[in-house]
Amino acid sequence: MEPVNPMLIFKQMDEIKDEIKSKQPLVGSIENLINISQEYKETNPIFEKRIIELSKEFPKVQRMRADGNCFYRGFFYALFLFLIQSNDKDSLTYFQKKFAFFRTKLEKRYGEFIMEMFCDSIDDVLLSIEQKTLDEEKLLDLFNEQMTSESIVAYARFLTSTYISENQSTFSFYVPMGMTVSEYCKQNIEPMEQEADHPEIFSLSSALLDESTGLAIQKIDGKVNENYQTLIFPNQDSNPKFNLLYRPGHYDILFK
Amino acid sequence: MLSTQNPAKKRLLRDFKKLQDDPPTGVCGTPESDNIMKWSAVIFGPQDTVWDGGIFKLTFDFSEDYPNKPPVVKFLSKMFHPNIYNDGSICLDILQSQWSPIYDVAAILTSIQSLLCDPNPNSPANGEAARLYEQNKREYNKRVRDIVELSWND
Repeated sequence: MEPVNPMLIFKQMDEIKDEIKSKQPLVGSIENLINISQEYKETNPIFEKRIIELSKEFPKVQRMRADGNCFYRGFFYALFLFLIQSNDKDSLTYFQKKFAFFRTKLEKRYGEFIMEMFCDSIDDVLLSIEQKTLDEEKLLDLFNEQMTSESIVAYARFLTSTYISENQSTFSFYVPMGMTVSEYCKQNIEPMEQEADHPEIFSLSSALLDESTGLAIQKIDGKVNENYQTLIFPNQDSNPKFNLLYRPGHYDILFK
Repeated sequence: MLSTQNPAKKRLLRDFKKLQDDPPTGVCGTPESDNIMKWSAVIFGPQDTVWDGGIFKLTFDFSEDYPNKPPVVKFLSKMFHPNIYNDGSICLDILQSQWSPIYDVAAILTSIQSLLCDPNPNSPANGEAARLYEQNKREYNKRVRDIVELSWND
């Protein structure tokens, strides 16, 4: 018997991806969270109820395309949006220094030539926030521009991978048995479209955020006796400045 | 506003420079003279292996999304290998689901080169080659030697 042609499977996967692409922008417009609860009306009343509950605190949501990059894209979109909206010079300076610090590290790890376009895509955004030429509307356009948006996602992946590699003792606990940290990063973080999980969220938040600028994830899952769970990164004492919604396998951005 | 002029072309120029300045053993690649988005490449069969002496030609097709999306890479030379289709398409994870923008042309070529001697029988693209590789190494090696000779005439 002839083996199943993997190219056909890739073709089918590409068709599914194309369908998602045609229906969903990379970053959507802000909408009411209650819309999402209605999608669960027929199929999952527990989720419906929990999203309604969550919408009392976070009435608005901004959806990310479900392409395996939603956490990384959502994280950077929410971070830049926070910098634009807060208009806080100290925060901006803090992040400019952080990214300059990591630029050197990334160039050393992956090569200057390879890293240039990815680091530049971040620096360009920070510069236009500083010069006040980037507002919310332009940020949305920018994140829907394929090349820039994917370059920012790639940057997020390289940073996440580098931070995990440099803090192996903290992260080796998450790596499946029989796999080295370096293999884990190569297979689960650096390739585009591989979904982020707890170690990736912990790594990226630890690399970039601190006590005064944290990330909160409002988690909705099928567990009994819980409405929604709030997880704060990089640690529970951090002061969250932006919020993501987690539903199994997917991340979006939440707004109060 | 923010985007620089064509990042794919800029990156491909750098890939080319790196291949020239620091060429990996046994591979070479060059863009077409009038189109940097299409490359021709050659992989020499690794020495002291059954592939030794082979000169295998390939084509690379890059999209404007490179390096965020992988190029389409195909062998022009006739191949006999568990992970290479009759039309020259290659079944290699880094060219599909495991693609990462850190791979450049040199990295792709060296990955394909090592795939030659180290096939993955779990994702066969050529059923006959996969079967012979597992069950009849002698015949497999003979068939590989045949296409090595054939590669001189391309």
